[in-house]
Amino acid sequence: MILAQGFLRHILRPRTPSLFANSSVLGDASVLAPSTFSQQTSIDVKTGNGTLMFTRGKRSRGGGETQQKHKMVNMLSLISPRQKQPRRIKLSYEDSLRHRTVHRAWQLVVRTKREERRLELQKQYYKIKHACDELRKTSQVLYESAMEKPSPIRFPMEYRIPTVTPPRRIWDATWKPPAEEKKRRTV
Amino acid sequence: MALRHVPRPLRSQDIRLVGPLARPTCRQGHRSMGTATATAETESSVLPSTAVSVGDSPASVAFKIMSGLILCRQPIVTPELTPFERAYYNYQSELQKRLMWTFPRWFYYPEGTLAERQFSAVQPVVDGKDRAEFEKPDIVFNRDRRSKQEVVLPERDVERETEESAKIYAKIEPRSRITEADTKDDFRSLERKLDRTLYLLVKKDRRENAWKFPAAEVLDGETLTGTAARLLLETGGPNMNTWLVSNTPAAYHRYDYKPEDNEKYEGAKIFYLKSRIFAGTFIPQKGSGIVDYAWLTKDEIQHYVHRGYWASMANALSRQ
Repeated sequence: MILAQGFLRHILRPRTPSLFANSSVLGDASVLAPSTFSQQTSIDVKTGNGTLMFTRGKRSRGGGETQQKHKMVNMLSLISPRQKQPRRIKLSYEDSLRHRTVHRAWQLVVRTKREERRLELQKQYYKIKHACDELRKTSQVLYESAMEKPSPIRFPMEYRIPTVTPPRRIWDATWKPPAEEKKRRTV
Repeated sequence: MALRHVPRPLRSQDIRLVGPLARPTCRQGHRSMGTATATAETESSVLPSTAVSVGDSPASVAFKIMSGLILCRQPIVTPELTPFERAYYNYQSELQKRLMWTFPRWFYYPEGTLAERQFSAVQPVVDGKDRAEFEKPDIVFNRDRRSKQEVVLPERDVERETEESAKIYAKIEPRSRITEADTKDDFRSLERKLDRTLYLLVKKDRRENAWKFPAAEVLDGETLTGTAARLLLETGGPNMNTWLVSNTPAAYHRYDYKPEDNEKYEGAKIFYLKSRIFAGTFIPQKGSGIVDYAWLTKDEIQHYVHRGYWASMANALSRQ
């Protein structure tokens, strides 16, 4: 959507809702709750002859269309950075050195962590491989049953991801297996 | 799981010694090596036997095959941050606050409303005089564009509060990461060390090498998984919600018996399966031979267990 810059600036300037129409946006609603967006509250009441409108607050010019337009523009103004974006950060030479040092230190920490994790997983993998090799030497039957893998792998419902702080009930120590044999998981 | 028929033990006529050149060729694409025959197995110096049959088999080495369990409780909270990490995250959030767009107060507190009046009354005065700079202050919508914005939310209007709005304003009190079990050093509790993995260690009535991961002998017709399930019930009771991670063993430990201790077997081979506990308690059952138990982290296990065992098991465990 290519619009002339000046026009966009004009329409996206934040509006204060000072010019709102008398009629409600919802039209023929019998009773309207006071709107937080408009300065005035209007309650439409349907009578035999027509509709009566009780209003409180400032009277405004224009119809319902302008009100809607204003509301849309108000919301759109939030998306635009106009008059909301702060200044660019301009770092001095020393400041930029500090920033770069911090960044490099962080990258180093991240790299070390990644490497540690990789090594730990590698050791775990070779442990599994060694165990499987020994099992194969020991018993072919047990080995083949150990190699059976569920496809696709199924995780239990109780699987939980760690959070920053613990839940209110940290551990369910009084858990009992369900009575139904079908729902039971033995291992 | 279908119980498999245990093959008959190897007899002397089944064994054909083959030379080193006659290795079964490992072709690419063959994922399972299930077609290995008895001949291939004789390449190792030890002749294995799946079932113990004292009568049939020759005077070969027999090992007791056991299935063990590495039962662990995963961390409940995220890992503890180091001082550098904490400082870095703080630095990044300050940068973000500095670069954040001005709060659109005209949208949330429209002009002319009571809420807007209350909001404006509480905001700090922004005149740009707190920064000693040569440039003239650049203030747009009550925000100095050269620094981060401080938005102060007004206090609750107790007069106009309803039950629902009271719920919204109710303060969220986060629970502490350090629990009672931590302060008391209760090693049998599963609420201890929430940021670490806890492993179950059991103590048998023995003078030395008492602390171990639970293990049981694989009986005739059983699989490793079947033994592990039985082991769990026999040692800890049924009140545990566990999940076996895989049928594949995660660790292997072998120890030799002293010749005077056991005549049937020369030693034992234990294949450990990894399992996770999600709820419940481990209650040592009578007749299991378990004197004591503890839920320990990896570094704590090192002090409980003897060196050879630690060397076998350490790499299978997780540090965090």
